[in-house]
Parts: sequence; structure tokens; C-alpha cells
Amino acid sequence: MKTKSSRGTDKMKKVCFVVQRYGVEVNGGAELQCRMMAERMLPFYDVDVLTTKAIDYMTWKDEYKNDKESINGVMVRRFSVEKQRSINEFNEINGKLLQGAVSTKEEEEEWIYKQGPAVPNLVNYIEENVNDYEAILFFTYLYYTTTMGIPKAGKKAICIPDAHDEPFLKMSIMKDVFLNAQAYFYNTIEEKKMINQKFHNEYIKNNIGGVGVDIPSDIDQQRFKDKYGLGDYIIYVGRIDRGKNCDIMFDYFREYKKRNKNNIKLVLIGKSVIKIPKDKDIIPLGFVEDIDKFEGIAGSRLLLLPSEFESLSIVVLEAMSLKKPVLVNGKCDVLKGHCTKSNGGLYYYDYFEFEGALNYLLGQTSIIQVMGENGLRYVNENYQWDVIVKKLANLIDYVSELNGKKAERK
Amino acid sequence: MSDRETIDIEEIMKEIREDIEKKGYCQEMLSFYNENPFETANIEKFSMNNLKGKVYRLNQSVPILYYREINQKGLKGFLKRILRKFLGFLIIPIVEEQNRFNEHTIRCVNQIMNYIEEHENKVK
Repeated sequence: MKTKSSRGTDKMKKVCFVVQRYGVEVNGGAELQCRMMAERMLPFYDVDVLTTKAIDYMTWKDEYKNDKESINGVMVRRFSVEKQRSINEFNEINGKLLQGAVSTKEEEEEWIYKQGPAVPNLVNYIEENVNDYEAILFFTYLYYTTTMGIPKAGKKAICIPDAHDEPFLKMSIMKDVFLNAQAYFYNTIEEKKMINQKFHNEYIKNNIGGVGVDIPSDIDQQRFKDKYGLGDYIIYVGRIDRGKNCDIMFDYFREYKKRNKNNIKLVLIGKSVIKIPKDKDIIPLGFVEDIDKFEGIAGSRLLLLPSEFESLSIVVLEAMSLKKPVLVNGKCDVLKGHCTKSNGGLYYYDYFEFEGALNYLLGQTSIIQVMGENGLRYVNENYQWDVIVKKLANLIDYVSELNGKKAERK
Repeated sequence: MSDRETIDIEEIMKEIREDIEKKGYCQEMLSFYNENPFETANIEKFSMNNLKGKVYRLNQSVPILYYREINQKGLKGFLKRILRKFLGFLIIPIVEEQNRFNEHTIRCVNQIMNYIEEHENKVK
């Protein structure tokens, strides 16, 4: 139902989402989260997205052609990067940072610029148009778009940090990100606790959001198994990268197969940036369509996630929605938290715990069913879109009231 | 674990760890375990990227926290929490000392890295 603005006209209020990449072709948890949230806010606000023309996060190279386009009702404004990322240049400054040798503001700004995406025109657009928006929502704390954008948004800034505990948080420039937004929308309680501990910003308005989980209704796991000729398997979904501990996952799984005689395979879904061992029990499928991904998870015995750095993990929530247990790296507080809060998965700290947990999950069929029910209940209670959208709208209203206007929603 | 309503992940993990201990498993049993890291170091060619990666992981490893969450419910969980509180006087100083040592070690390694890079640039 429309409500009238204070001037008595039916005018939709505007909000702006700022994210490093945006589009149906873009893979990435934070980018997908932004797109899902933006589209779900459409019933309540006019939504603009400010982003780059990049698809590839390694180079930020311009690939989208148009400066403006509408994607599922959301107006997307794209800005070209001033300079593509040079991996060698970035690795050099990043190496210095990781060794504690980056200490001045200029060096930190150099890191931010080389990390990218370097889009000063986008930041200028925010400065020039900030009064048009009720709130400006920034995704992912460690990119140029957020660190440079938040100061320009001033009292309109809301931050969805997508943070995990990593060295970049130690930069003094991050204080601007975590102390100067008007509100924060964290993905998990673990992320909030970690940020509060580092920045003591608990006094700033905040809430816990994350993403809702949408599972297609017509999942046919047998279709997936027949299509790829699969029997019994466990599945990994995501970028296949050393940063996600996939190299260790391969070591562990191959060792598991040496020590345990069974027919279980490891199926991989996702783009690989490292070499995948040639092994008859490791089956890489590459990047597949969404329906294949869901059917792949549904047909598996469990989802395996070895990553140590996750701020939410949409794929774990998807697996739980499909009543599949998960086996995760216990060093990641967020992933371990999903398991212990739901009682829907196990975690490991070393190889033998990995082996023990995997054998448990493959052997205890009745317990696994209970875990599956537990996981589904956990997702239904904590990660539903209507609840998340309401929380986010409340934060937008709060920021809008701070700036003297009442947000009007359709 | 027969009650379908109350499975406890921490209890399951405890059973798995007890099983590992009972079987006497250790890292040396693993085929990818490197028994003599120096042997590998002698064989491996120097790689700056490899070194930077190791230094990066080293920087990630501090600080050690003495405090561990005990989510276990019931009497066992309560007793563990009491024990954690009472042993704090003994454990905290040891952990702090270890953290100080780790910090000094990492600063030392970082300084060595900086020295290498400075001199690498001079040679170039």
C-alpha cells in the first residue's frame, strides 16, 4: 500500500547500494548478497546500485559496456576503473602490509588504491548526489568503493562489512569504515563480536542480517547423478583456490582414500584458480548452472567446506536448507558457529578429526537425518528474507530519521 | 547417541577425539607429513612468493587466546567452565609468555624479510 510523502505526493524514497561488482554473471558471496538485498528492497524503495564495469575481481577490467542499465528492476550505474589492478604491484604492497611494514596513511591509501577497484568517479558521484538518497549501503569493508565511499556518504552511510578476521582490519584507515557509518548490518553474531572487539563500536546502531536462502522447488538429485555419472559423493562448492584451503582439502581427501576403502568421491563445483590433482576420486565439474549446483548438493552425502575465512557462507546455509549435513573447518568461527548453533554439521581442526568426522557422517544414517532436520530448522529460524528485509528497512528508517526525514515506503 | 531430539555436535566431536586418542593416531602416520622439514628445505629452490606466504601465515597465527568457549550444556559443561576459571591463574601467564615470544619471533622474521627486500632492491 502506498503512503504519501510529507508533501502529499506519492514519491518513492531512494536508497543506494555500493558494491565492487554487480550483475547476474558475477560470482562472489558479497556481490550476490548485495544483488539479492537490492532486488528485495524494491517493493519499499527506489533502488540504485553504484558499481564498476568489472566481472573479474583480479583485474577489475571493464567488461560491461553500458554506464546505466536496469537489472530485475534495479537501476545499476556503472563506473570504469581508473586503473586495472596489477597483481604484481598489489602483491608487493600487500606483502609489506602482511609483514607490518605499511604504517603511514599514504601507504594504506596506496594499498586501498592498488586493491581497487579504483573508481574515483563513483566516489565523486556519491559526494555529488548524497542528498538524493535516504541511505547509502556499502558492501565489503576492504574495497576502495567502501573505504573511500563511506566518508563521502557521511550521515547516510550503512555498512554491510562482510568481514572476517584478517590482517587488513589492522590498518588505521579501517577505523573510518568501522566507526563512521551510522549503522552496521552484520552477517553473523561471530562477525559482530569480532568487529566489536577490534573497534569497540558496539554503541553504533547495528543488527544481524545475512541472506535468506532460496531453494528451487523442482530439485531432482537423480537427474544430476545421471547427468554426471555419479554414485556416492561428497561435494565442495565455491572458488577452488589456495585461499579457500582447497590444496589442503585435496591432501586430506586423498589421504582419506588411502586410509579408508570406500567408493566415496569428491565432486567440485566452481571455477578453479589452482591445479586440481588428477585423481579418479576427485571430479571437477567447473562452473555449473544454479539448478545443477542445488541438485549436486541435494544428491551428495554432505557439503565439505575447508575455508578458514568466511563471513557467512551462503552455500552452507543452502546445504542446510536441503537437509544436508556439513563438514567445515573449525578454525573459522562463523562456520563452526553454524554447526554448533544448528547441530547440523561437524567441524575439524586437523586431518584425523577430518577423517573421524567424515566417517561418522558417512556411517551414522539415522543421526544424519536428524542433523539434516536440525540444519533446515536453523536456516528457517535465522535466515528468512522477510525477517532480513524488515531488519534492513528498520536500519534505513533509523538513518533517515537521523537525517531529519521519515522514510516512506510503498 | 540415541535421542533423536538432542544430538550435540560437541559431544560427537568429543567421541571422535577420544577415538583418535585411543587409536594412537599421530601426524607422522600421514603420507603428506613432512618428517624432516630441513630435508625438504635442502631440496626446495628458494621462492620469494613461498617465503612471503609462510610469513603471511606466521603473522596470522598470533595471538593465542587462553579463553575457549565451552558451549556444552549440563553438569559437565558447568564443571568445565569452573575449571577454566580456577586454572586461569596458572594458564594465563604461560599463554601471555608464549604470545610475547611469538610476537618477538614474528617481528624478527618480518625484520629479516625487510632486510632481504631492501638488499634485493639494491642488487637490482
